[in-house]
Amino acid sequence: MRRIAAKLHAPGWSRPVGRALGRWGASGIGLAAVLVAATIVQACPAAQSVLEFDRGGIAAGQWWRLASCNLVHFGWLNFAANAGAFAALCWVARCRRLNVMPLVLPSAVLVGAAVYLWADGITTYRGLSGVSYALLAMLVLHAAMRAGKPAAAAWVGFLALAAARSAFEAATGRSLLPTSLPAGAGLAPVSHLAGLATGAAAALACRILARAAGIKAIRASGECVRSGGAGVGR
Amino acid sequence: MKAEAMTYGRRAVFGAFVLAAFLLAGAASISSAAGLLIADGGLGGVLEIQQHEVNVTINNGVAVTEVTQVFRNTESRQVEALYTFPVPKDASVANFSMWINGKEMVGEVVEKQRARQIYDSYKAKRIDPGLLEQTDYKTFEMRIFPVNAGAEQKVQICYYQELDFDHDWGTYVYPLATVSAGGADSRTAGKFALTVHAKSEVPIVAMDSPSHRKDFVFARHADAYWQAGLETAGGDLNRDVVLAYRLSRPRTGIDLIASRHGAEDGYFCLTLTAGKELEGLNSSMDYAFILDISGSMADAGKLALSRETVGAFIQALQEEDRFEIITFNVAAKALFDQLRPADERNKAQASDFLGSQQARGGTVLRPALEAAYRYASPDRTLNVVILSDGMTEQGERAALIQQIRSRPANVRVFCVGVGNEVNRPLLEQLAEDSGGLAAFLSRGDDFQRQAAAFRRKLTRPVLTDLQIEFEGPQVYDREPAELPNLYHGTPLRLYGRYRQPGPVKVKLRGLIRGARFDNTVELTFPAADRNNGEIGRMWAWHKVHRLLKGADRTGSRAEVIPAVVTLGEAYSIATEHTSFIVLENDAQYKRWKIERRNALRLQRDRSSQQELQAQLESMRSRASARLGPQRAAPQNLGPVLAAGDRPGQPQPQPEPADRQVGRPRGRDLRLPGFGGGAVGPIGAAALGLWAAAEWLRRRKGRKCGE
Repeated sequence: MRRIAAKLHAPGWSRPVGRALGRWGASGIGLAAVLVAATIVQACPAAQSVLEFDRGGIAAGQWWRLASCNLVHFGWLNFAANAGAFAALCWVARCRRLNVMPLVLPSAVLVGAAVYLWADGITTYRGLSGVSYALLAMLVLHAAMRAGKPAAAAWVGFLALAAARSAFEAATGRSLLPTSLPAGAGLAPVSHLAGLATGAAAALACRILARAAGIKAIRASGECVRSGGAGVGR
Repeated sequence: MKAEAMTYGRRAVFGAFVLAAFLLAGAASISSAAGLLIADGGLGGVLEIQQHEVNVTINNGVAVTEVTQVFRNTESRQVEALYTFPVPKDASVANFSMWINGKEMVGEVVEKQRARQIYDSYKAKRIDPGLLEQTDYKTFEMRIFPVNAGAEQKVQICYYQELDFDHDWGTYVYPLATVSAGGADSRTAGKFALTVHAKSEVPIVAMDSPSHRKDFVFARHADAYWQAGLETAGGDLNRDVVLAYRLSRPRTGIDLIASRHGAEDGYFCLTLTAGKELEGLNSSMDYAFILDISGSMADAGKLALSRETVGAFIQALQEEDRFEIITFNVAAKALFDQLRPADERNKAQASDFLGSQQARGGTVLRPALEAAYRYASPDRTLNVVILSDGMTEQGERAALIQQIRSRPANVRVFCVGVGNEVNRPLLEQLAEDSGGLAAFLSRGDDFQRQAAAFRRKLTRPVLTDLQIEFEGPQVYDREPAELPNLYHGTPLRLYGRYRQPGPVKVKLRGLIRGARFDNTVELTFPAADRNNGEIGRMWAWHKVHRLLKGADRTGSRAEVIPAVVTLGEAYSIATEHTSFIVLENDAQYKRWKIERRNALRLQRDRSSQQELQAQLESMRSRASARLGPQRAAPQNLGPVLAAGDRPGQPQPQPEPADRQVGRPRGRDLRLPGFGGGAVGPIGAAALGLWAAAEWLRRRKGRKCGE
């Protein structure tokens, strides 16, 4: 990536792109693109009907709706709350030097699939919050893995609370906290549960892969501590 | 001879005085009243209203209004009384009786020309006939001859109507503010009493009268039964009586009520109501308000009512909505010449603009509608809301209907008829042809409530492309044959007939915001149900209405008139082609070979009404038994007694079998769900704080690193 960025630092039109790549990385640009896409979709009602989760459409083979439904929202308030939460989580990930971009697309698809499979009362689904819940789970578990025992327990407890809340909402059909949804659109907690599960699975997978690669721990600076010695890289 | 000459002289003076009074009154203002009995012929004169009693029974949204009036001929001559009364919205006149020699004579429906011939033949012989005919779409006229000098005449009219529903609120209007011939006195010399019994199996949770809040007394006897009463002595009857009641049906559902006597084929009425789960999913919309400021809008404060309604509507718009106001009389004029967001500044400008409008000139709607169409854009729905009394120029109507049909895509036309004398058929047809709605404002109603309700209808999602199929007992003659769109706040009623009782599967298909839904619910058609006799008549009335409307579109009614007359006679419905005739006795009916169908039907209906009244009386008794101190149940007498088993309280009576089957058989529908992933404000704020904490931590780390 740095090599690409260095090449793009050459004078001319590509300089700003190169700088952005250097500063934010492809991951940051990818996440920003998600937000820009959601904003464009929100401003363009014609696109919403093509991209939203439509059970009939998906059954008829419009599979893209499983992922694209995450970019569509019920009004600007719903969009602002979801996009704001997503942006905040991306920022936290950046501060923690965690590349969450590879998680976005799989979690978007899994959230859509979970709604399709387990919320058959919902024929139209919209919202980015499922993906945000995936990022949240990954970030929280990542923080827990890097923290000491008491703090790790607190992080895990927080995540368990979030999961319990979503499970309660799924069981009762009632939202425990105010949502940004307009009247008439119900909360789909199954999407939050799916997001949490995806994020948690991704965090654990990372952990297992890291262990398999012999990385014992990752310091706050991003340096990896390998089983047999000092940190050798980020 | 001299005395006779004196009498004629006095009459001439009196006549001149009446004429002068007419002219003066006509110049000053137009008087109004519920129905007016005018001495027809000569110089006319108004008969005094001695008594005016209105008894309304609202049974599951269908109101049966029985108006009993006693008039006195204050003139010193025998007169032919001409009684004119307005037809409330969607009302079907189902009976006309008059008292001849102290005995009630029930009218019969016959073909209009024949009825007029029979009436005229009796009039020549100066014996008692009565005639009730529909003169146009909005007025009925009743003629009684002779009414002797100083004599009293008692008449009774009964009509059925479906109530307007705005989601939970059902509105009943008793039209009193009828613009009529000048010089008419709207005061009643005796008492005016209006009693409303509202019965509904969907619980009634509130009742109110926006027009006569202080005069009405409301009593809640049970969730399913409320009563309202108003009584005045010598009151002025120049304001509509508006009564509204709220039902609590939160879910979108389908309700069935039925009527079946013996082995006859039954009638049913299915009501489809949009529930709360369909609320609030629409995004912002554009509105073009077209306000009629022609001269006819000056009458009875119609312009003021329209201004206030548009004003209330605009105040309720959200900032992301855009709007424009276009006024018209002989020419159209726009406020902004563009659609502007509904922010405070534009709302204030609209309010000033509305306040400056004055009613004058003719009514030419087409240019205004053309101008409104120019605001249409492909990506937003444009709602064109026309507020008018519909008194557009005759030659323009066909072109107007054509213009509505050729509207741009994404445009819906909504018509708000203002006043009681509104041209309902025209406004309804305009709205129907454009996939919109027509609503009607009464002067007595609360315009803010009306505007809010109408706005809800505009902004809430609708069920479209509705199709209904029945599996089970043979269902036939459905009215309407094709279901229109379902709007929020306006239940959709489907009438029909069924051959056999028993369970029936009702398959309902359609689209909600483009999402397809397909529901099957099981309902049961009863073997016997005598409580809802009005359904049969309403079914026939809808059929007549559809036939006439269809014929009007083709331009000729000739083909449908025989069917309309047959239905009118069979179901005792006065239409533009059938009239009620009252003759002196049964022998006279036989002489003219008129079957006493209405007399028999009325006997049956009254018997059902009596049963219903007995049931209501029992509910009232149960409610009053709960008043006052309740005696404590004696101790140590075994199990605790149920409330109804307490000493001194009436025992709850088991309902008769046919009454149990008379209950509406409602089912909630399972509609497409709109689900969203949503982070709430608390979650978003917490994540924001986390992000800020991370930023601070990172900054601190950098500083330490430096």
